[in-house]
Amino acid sequence: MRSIHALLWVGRRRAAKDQRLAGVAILFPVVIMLLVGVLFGSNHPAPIGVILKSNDQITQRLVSVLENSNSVSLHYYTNLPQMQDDILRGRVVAGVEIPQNFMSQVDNGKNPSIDLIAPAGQAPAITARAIVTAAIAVVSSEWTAALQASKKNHIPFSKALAGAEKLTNSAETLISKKVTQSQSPFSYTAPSNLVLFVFITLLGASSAFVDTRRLGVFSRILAAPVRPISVVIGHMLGLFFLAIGQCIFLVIIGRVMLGVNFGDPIALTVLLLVLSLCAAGASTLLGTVAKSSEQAIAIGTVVGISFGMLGGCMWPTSIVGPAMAEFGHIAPQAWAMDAFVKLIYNGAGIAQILPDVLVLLGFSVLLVIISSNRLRRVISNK
Amino acid sequence: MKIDKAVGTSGLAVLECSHLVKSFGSRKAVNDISFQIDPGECYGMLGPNGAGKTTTISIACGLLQKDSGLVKVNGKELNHKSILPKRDIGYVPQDLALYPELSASDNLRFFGRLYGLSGRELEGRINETLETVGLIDRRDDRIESFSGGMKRRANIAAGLLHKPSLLVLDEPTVGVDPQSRNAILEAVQLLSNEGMAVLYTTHYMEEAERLCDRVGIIDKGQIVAEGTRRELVEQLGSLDRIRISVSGMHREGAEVLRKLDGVQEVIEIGDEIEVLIPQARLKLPSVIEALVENHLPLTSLEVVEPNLEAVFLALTGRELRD
Repeated sequence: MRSIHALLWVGRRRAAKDQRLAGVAILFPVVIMLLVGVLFGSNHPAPIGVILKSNDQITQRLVSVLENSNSVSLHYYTNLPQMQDDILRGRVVAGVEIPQNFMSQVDNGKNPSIDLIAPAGQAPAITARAIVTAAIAVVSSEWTAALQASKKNHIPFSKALAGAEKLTNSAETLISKKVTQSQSPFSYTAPSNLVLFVFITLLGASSAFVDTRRLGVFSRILAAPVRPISVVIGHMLGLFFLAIGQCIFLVIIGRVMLGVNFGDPIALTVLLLVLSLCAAGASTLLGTVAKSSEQAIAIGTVVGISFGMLGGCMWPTSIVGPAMAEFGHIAPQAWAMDAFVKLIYNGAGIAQILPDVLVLLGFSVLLVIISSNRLRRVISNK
Repeated sequence: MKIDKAVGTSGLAVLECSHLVKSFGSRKAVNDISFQIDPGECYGMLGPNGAGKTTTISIACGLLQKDSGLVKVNGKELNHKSILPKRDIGYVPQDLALYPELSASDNLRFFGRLYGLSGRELEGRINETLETVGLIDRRDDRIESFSGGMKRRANIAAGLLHKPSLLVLDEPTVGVDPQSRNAILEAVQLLSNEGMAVLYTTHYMEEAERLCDRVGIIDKGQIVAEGTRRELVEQLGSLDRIRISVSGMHREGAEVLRKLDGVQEVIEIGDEIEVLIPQARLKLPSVIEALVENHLPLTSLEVVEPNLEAVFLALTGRELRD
């Protein structure tokens, strides 16, 4: 215990003197959380260009649904080249062209197409596309429902359509209220950057371990009446506490400054403990594998960022397609993000996130076993 | 020269190493080494790089598992199961095994805690130890801001902190400026005179001569000779040595010198010739004259009086810094 305390003490002293660590562990995640949250998580509507070649009832309704959406704002164009130019310049994120005689084509049983112009692979364009598609779905359901009601109840079509529109509007208001009341625009970026930076920080911290190893400090420690297992425990506990400290700090920042509701506190605590253990194991493994501190930093950054991408720390896995989202679960970050999404968006408790936590725990146990064995061998010169 | 002092008064060796063997793959780094160090004794382990000095002291400090043999510290066996005897050892590694970003006092605080020191006792020992190595004024400065010699002294302080009965120093003066080197040697000499047993490895003959009561000459994993300086030098006999270089013609030179009066032996070592002769300084004119008469181009000439370097050379056929 004496030697473990001493190792924890020296770990704290070294961390306190390390300005790089303060940047990576505290400053970077907060700055990136704020930037990403403001840019992509805010409630500012995405600008969409619209060309109206019809002015019939169905076109007006479609425009009205889009205008009522909090997520998009409409910019009207009279010609396609101008709208395309603005899409290229980023003035609008996507464009919609509603064809001539839209309503009469529908009436005649044809399938008129609405042109949606959106740059491939850009998140705002994907969002805009989803909103336009949803708006068309709303209008077409109203239209179908009104036709059915008019025929069945022998009421005028316009009255039936007005009834369907009223029903849709009240449902939209309900959904919109619930979403805006519970979710902060930082609800995704706060946990995703927490997960991303806990791993990047801990993997980066492995460089200090490599330095210690190369300086021969471990030899000197083991020349004292200290068993190698105490050094392993002391080292890993130090990293674990570093990760826990970073998690607590980022959760407080997320809650107090950014208004993120992380959900059930018990489930959140369990998740953070397992996440920290996993990051400590990964850091120790890298520290025993890397030949120099520069190599540890290089590998740590590449692994931290690429696994963060795979695990949904840069963007939601829902936008990369099912196969890629599935593949991304080779990264522990993906399981941590799944658990965070359930906690924040679904109001889940410990029971609901248990499968994700158990998988993350599996990663942690595996990493801790492999890395502690390697660490023991490295410091004992075996 | 070494100050005379009482050695081995208690009768119990502080360190006893018996028949140590350690191999790395097929190479035997330590091959049946035995030695012991008594209280207050400074034992020098002298040998060239790669001779097995560091491996031997790593085993003696319990850092490396031996293949066979026995290590006892103050009569207690040291092995991977029994680590308490390590409390009696102060280890000063060849590497600068300190945290460079921490201050000298913080480094000592950490190592002191590993040995169970705490509170006032620890703070008192930190000050005393830094005083001993002449770093008390820099106690709160980061190690990375120290000069090479100061770093080495801080390295020694970390080994002294817990008042060990055996101080093990692995080539503590490598790469150190002459001033710091002198300060280190003085500190070690003082500790030894105060009764601390010291195991000192070096490949600097003059350090071993200055500090050590006894010297073990180690080569290729074996102790090839052991004793006090006087005992070792006496192994060479009372002859002086003249070391001569005659560029490219050492064979011819050796033939000429063998015929001179008083010459006991002529040894060819690389491009040099070594002549064993009594009262070498008086014979120098005749040696030079013989070489000149035979048109042998003399490029250097040195009279070597018996010392540990000469002993090492005679025993191994190699120079210490080979």
